[in-house]
Amino acid sequence: MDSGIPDGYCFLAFRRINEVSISFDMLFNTWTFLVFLAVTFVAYHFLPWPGRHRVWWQIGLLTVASYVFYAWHTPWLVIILAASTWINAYVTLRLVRPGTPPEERKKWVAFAIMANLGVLIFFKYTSLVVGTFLPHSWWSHWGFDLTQIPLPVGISFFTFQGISLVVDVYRKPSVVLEQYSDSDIGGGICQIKDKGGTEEARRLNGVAGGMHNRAADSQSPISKLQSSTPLFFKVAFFKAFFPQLVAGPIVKAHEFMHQIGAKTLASVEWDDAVKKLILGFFLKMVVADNLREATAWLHYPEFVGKPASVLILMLYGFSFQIFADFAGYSLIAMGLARLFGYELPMNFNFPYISQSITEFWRRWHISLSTWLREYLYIPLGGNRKGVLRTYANLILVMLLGGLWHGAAWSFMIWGCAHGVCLAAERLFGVKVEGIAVGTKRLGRCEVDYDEVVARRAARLCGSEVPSKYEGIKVTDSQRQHFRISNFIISVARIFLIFNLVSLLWLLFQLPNFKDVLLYLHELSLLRQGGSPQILFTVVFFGMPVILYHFWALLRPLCWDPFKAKNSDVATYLMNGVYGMLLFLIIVNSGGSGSFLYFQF
Amino acid sequence: MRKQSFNGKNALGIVLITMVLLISYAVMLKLSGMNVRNSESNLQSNLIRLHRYFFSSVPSQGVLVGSSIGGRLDSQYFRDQGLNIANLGLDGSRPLYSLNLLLTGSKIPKIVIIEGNTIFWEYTGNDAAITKEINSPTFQMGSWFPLLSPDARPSSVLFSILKARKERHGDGMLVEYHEMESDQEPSLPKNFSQSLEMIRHLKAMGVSVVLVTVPSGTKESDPAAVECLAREAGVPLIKIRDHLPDRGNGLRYSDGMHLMGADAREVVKTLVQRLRILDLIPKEVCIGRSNSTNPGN
Repeated sequence: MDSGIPDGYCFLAFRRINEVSISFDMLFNTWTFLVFLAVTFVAYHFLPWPGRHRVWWQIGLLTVASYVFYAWHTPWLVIILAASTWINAYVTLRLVRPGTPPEERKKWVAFAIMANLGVLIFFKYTSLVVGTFLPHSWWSHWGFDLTQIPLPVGISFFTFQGISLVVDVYRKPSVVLEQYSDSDIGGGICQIKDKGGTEEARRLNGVAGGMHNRAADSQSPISKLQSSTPLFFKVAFFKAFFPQLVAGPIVKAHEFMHQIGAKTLASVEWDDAVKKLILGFFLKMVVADNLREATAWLHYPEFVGKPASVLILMLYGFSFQIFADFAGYSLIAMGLARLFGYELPMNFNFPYISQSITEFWRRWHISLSTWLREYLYIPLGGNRKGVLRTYANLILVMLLGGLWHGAAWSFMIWGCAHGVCLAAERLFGVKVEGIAVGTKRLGRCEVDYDEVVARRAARLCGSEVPSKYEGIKVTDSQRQHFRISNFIISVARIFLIFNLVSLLWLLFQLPNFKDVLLYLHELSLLRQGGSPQILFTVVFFGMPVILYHFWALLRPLCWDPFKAKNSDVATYLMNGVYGMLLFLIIVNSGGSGSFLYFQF
Repeated sequence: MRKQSFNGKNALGIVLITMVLLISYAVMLKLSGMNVRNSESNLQSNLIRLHRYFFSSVPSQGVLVGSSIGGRLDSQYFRDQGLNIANLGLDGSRPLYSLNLLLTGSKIPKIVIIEGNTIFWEYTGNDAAITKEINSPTFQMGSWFPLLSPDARPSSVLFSILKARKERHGDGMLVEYHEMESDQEPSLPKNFSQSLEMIRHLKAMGVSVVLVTVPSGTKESDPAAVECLAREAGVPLIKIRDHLPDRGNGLRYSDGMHLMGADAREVVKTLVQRLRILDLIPKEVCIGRSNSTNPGN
C-alpha cells in the first residue's frame, strides 16, 4: 500500500494522501449522513403531500431514501434488499389472500423462511463452510473464490425481519392489514372487516362471498397489482426503513406495522428524539470510538508480553466499547425513527447490571433475544417438552444466535457458552430477580425494587410469598436491612456476571480460538507493569458506562423519589446532563470508525 | 387540524446548556494558555502534531519526522534552543509516512530531520487511520473553530496535565545500551531504496536533510544500514548517543523505549549543538529563544 513518492495531487484546503482514498459512506456519525438526514426530514415533513394519500407519499419517500442510504455504501447490495423485500411481500400477499388453504399457507411460509435463510446462508456462511470442510482443490478451478463472497451490510438484520413478517402474518394477518380478520383464512370463507371503507376492502369483501379463489383468479393482473400495491409499499418500507436497516434493532412486524400512517411535525416527540440521539451519539462517538484506541491492542500479537493489568483493562475496555457501540447505534436508530414519527423497540436495558446470564439476555440485544425466543425457541418446544429438551433448546438457540453474529466458529463457541450458562442457571434454579414482570409494552422493563425486596422479606420472614402484583407489609427497618444486604449481594453477582460476559467477549475480539487461549495464558503469567495511556483511556471513557449502569441500580432508591418530589429540578438536572453529553460529543469525539455490529 | 403544543422545550434547553458549556470551555482554555502536546491515544497525539504543523499561525521552517521515538523530542524543546522545528514524530507510524504527508502539504520546510531509528519500518495500519482522520472535514474545521482542534479535547488536556505531573515526579527506567551487532555482509532492508529515493527527492527540492538516530532503549535500526543510507544519499548522519556523556547510558525512559521529558530536552540540546557545529541550520529556522521550561505550557 505504500506508494513511495506521492504524485502530489491536492483537494480543497488540504491534500489527499494517495495511499487511501476518501470513502463517503453513510455511517450515522458522518457529515454525509447529516446532509442526507436533513434533506429527507425536510422533504418528509414540509413537502405539500396530498392529504388523502399523505401516508403513501411519506412511506414512498422514506423507502426511496432508505434505498439510497443502503446503496451509498455499495450500490449492488440494493438488488439483494429488493429481492428479499419482493419475496417477503409476495408471500405476505399470498398469506392474506382470502381462501388460501392452510396447507398452502404453510408451504408459503416455509418457502419464505427457506428463501430468507438461503440468502443469508449463501452470503454469510458459504466461506466458512467451504473454508472449513471443502478442500481447496475441489473448487479452486471454478474461477472464483468461494471464501471471498462479499457480505452485504445488515443482511442478518433484514433477513430476520423478513422471517418475522411472514411468520407474524401467518399467525395473525391483522398485524399487516387491519382490514383482515384473524379468522381462519385458509380453506374457509374469509370475513373481511370493512374498516374505513377502502376500495380494497370492498372489492375483497365481494371476493369473500364464497367465490374467493375463482374471483381472485379472474382479476386482471393490473387490478391484482393495484390491490396489492399498498401492502407491498408497507412491506418495502418496513424492511428498508433506514434507521434500523443495517444494524437493528430487529423490528418485528407486529411492533411496527400498526404504526404506519400519515405523520406530521406534531407527531415528532422532540424531547425523546433529541435525548436518544444525544445519548446514542455520546456512547458511540465519545465512549466507543475513544475506547477503540485502547482495545486496538487486544489483538494478536499486540497483546503478547503485556502486563496483566493492561490485559484486564483492555478486556474491560472492550466490554464497555461493544456496549457503547451497539447501544449507541440502537439509541441513534430510535432517535432517528422518532424524527419521522415512528417508535422502535428498546434494544438495551442496562445489561451490565445483570445478576445472571438469563437476565443478561433480557437486557442485551433485546430485539434479537426476543426474536430467537418467539421464532426459534418456542417453535422448537421451548420448555414444554421436558427438562432435557429444554436444555437442548436453550443451547441450540444460543448456538445459532452466536453463529448469527458472524461466520466463524468462535462465534458459535460464544453462543454455545451462553447457552450452557442459561441451561446451567435453569438447572440450579437461578432466578431472574432484577426485573419485575408485568410489562405492558413490549420490550420495556421497569425495575421494581420494592417488590423484589418485599418478596424476599416475605420468604425470609416465613410469610407466604405474595402473588406477582401484590406486596406485603414489612417494617421500615426490615426493608432497609434487606435493601442493604440485597444490594451487596446484587453488586457481587453483577461483578461476577460482568466478568463472565467480558471473558466471553474475547471470542468476538479474537476470532481465532488459539489467540483466546494465548490471551488467557498471558493473563495467568501476572506480569507486572502498566500503561498510563491505556489506564487513562479505559477509566476516563469507561466511566460513563459504569455511571450509566450505576444510575440504573440506584435510580429506584434515590433518583425516583427525588424526581417525584422535585420534578422541575430533576428536569433541569437531566437537561444539564444531556447538555454536557452534547458538549462532549462536539469537543471530545474519538477517531471516526464504523459500528462493530455492522459486520453482522 | 388540532394545534398541538411544541413538545421540545427540554431539547431547546439542552442545546442552550451546551452552548453555555462550549463558550465557558473556550474561555477557560484561552485564559489558561494550555499547550497540549499529548493525548491519551496515539491517534489523537498524532492529530495534535499534524494540526499544529498544517494550521499553525507561525509556520515551521523545519520538521522532524519519525515515530514515537522521535516524537518525544518536542518542538518546545527546539524552541528553547532557538529553532522553529515542528515535530512530526507520529506514534505508531514511521518516517516515510510523515515524509509523504510533508510532501503533499502546501509548504515545504527548509530542513527535514529524519529519525533513522525506524526509517525502514513497514507500512502500518496506524497510517491508514491517520490518513482517514486528516482527510475528514472535521480536521479542517479545527482550524476555523479552535474548540474542534485535537488539542482542545478535554481528555487530551487532562492527560497532558497528568503526564506532565508524572514526568516531573517520575523516575523512569534506565536502560543499558548495547551496540547492535552488524552482519559482516549486511543485507539492505526492504524499504532501503524507497527511503533513498525519498531523501534524494527532498534534496532535489532544495531541502536540507539530516539523518539522526535518537537514543532509544530498544528500537534502534541496524546502524550499518542507516550509515549506508546516509552515505548513498549524501546526507549527514548524527548519532546523538555518540555525543552524550557515557554514550547516553544515564538517560531515563518512561517504558524502556521512549525518553522522559527532562532527558528528551537534553537530547534535543545535544542535537541542536551538533547541527550548529555542522552548520546545517538554515537561518529561516532560527527564532528567538523561548523562556518556557514547563512542558505542560
